[in-house]
Amino acid sequence: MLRFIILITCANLVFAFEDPKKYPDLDEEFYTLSIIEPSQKVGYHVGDLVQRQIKLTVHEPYTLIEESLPIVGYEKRFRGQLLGITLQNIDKKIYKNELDLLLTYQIFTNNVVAKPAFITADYYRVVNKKNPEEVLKLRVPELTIAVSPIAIFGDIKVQEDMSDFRGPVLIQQQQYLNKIYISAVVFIFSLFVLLYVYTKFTILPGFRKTFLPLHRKLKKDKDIKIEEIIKLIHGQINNYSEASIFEKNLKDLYTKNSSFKFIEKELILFFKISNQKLFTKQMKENASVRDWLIFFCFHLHLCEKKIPVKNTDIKLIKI
Amino acid sequence: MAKKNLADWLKSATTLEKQINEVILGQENPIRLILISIFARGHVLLEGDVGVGKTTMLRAVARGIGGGYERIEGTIDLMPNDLIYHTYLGDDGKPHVDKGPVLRSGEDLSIFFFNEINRARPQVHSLMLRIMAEKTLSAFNQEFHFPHLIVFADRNQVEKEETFEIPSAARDRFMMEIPIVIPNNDGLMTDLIFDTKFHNADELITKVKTDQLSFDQLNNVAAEIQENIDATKELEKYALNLWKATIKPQDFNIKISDIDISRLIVSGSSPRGISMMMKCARVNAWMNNRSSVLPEDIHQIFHETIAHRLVFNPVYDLRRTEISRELTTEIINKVSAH
Repeated sequence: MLRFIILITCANLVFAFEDPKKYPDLDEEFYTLSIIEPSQKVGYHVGDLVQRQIKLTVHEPYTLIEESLPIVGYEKRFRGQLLGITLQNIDKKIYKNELDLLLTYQIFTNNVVAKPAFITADYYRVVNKKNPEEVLKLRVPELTIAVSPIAIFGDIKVQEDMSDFRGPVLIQQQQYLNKIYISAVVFIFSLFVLLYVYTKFTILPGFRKTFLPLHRKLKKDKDIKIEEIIKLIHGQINNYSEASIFEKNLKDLYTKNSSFKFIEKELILFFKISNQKLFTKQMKENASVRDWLIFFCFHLHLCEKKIPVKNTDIKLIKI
Repeated sequence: MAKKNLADWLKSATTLEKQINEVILGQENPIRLILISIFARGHVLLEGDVGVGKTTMLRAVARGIGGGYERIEGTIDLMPNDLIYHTYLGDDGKPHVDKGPVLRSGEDLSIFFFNEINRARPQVHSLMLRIMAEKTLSAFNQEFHFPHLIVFADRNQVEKEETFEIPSAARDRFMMEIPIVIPNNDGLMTDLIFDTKFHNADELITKVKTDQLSFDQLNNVAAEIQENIDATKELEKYALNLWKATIKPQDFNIKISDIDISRLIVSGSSPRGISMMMKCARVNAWMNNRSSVLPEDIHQIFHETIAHRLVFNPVYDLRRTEISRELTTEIINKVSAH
């Protein structure tokens, strides 16, 4: 079994390293070859794609051996060294004896040395249909391009690569400047958003929406009665602490968020006002109490956001 | 004596409370609850270990309110007639019949203490419950009335041997069940050990002045308190929700660890129970010098007036004391008053 595997591996290696040049050349009268080369010859970078279109017609009695066409993913070597150019895709159309090939190579080299890059010559094989023993080759010439814009010796001449449709190869700083400007604007905007989120003015959908929306609602609604305000504040305090909060169990609220301790005096006053209004009916509509409740609601919002309320900001009223 | 108004009564009640607190150390809350029950005219179950001062406390209260104070010990051989009379051969060699503890003070009986009621047989419970409910007793072809009577009964929850548990229907007739525990305060505990004045209960209770509250006027005062202390619509709604929560706690998102709350309650508070709770809350508001009931007035008496009425699934009944405390606390914490 081991011998068989070694044999198969060796046979494959032999085939892989088969030299296509050993076959005799096909006479030019038996084929027609036209190649559309990319117009850009210089200034390629890593990741750029290079496309060659090859049209080949093989005349009778010969026919193309399809297996001799280039293989996708195979990276070519030149003098034993990897070129850094890989065939990425092959778009193949064959109609009778006509072959239309679109070869897409991708550049993977960033060699900084000023020298040309090759797409080396390919050798396609043809076979005589009347005499299968006769296998010949035809040569598709190499394409020489430059990876670096200053790699201009040899076949590459920049002055011959001045297409009207493609500007000269320059380092365009404007696009980078644009990106920097946009990034700076986004960054500054993000800072503003962050500042907004962490200040007392925050109101975002689904985010810390307990007391600030209520405060805004109370500020807008001039007709709302004290009793309604008290109930709404109680409701939000209970929602926030997930318990029914009374003066006696305020510690449950502090456990949830210790910032509420800063306004303990206001909380106690709120419960007094609440008891007077809801359970003793001793309190009548009173603008100062109403204003205080709205102010208190804003302090609740600050505590919810863990913004400390200073002692000097604590405001108490007589009831 | 000139007729006292509610403010005068409150002053007297506060003075009595203060005096009892000087006699019984570290029991401020039970003493407040006992006074509430006296002004709400409801019977009380006391729960606690032996020797924590229940009898002394009741004797002090009885001294303060005046009237007759009687006491009986629950034992397995106690029969109903032992409450009503006892017979003996007199010096003259003839049989005599004397009135028992229930009849001894006649209509003036103000406090009757039934110690370890769960050691007595159900027949005795039955008689006691009738006296509690109707405040009358038929004996010797005669109807006896006890218009000022409040019964205090003690049950020992720890020992279960040779006891007859009071059924839930009977428990419901008690307005409160008050737990009495040893004060958790080193200073007070040291005083109880070393201050010799606490070693002689008879001497100790003499520090409470007698007849401060006039037991025979308490029924009228209680009615006046109930009439004069208001409860707003908001509070009515709150009390209603509390009641509903005792029946279906799961509807109020009440959770207790390791307990399937939907299976816990077999029967919630009775209408009688919840009305007794409101009666006590009104008295509590009055004792706090308010003319309206606040949710806090209910909180203070909620556990004591409701917990003993709840009928638990037998699976959980063995842990009754612990679960009922957690349940009532959760109800207060979850049911919103506003």
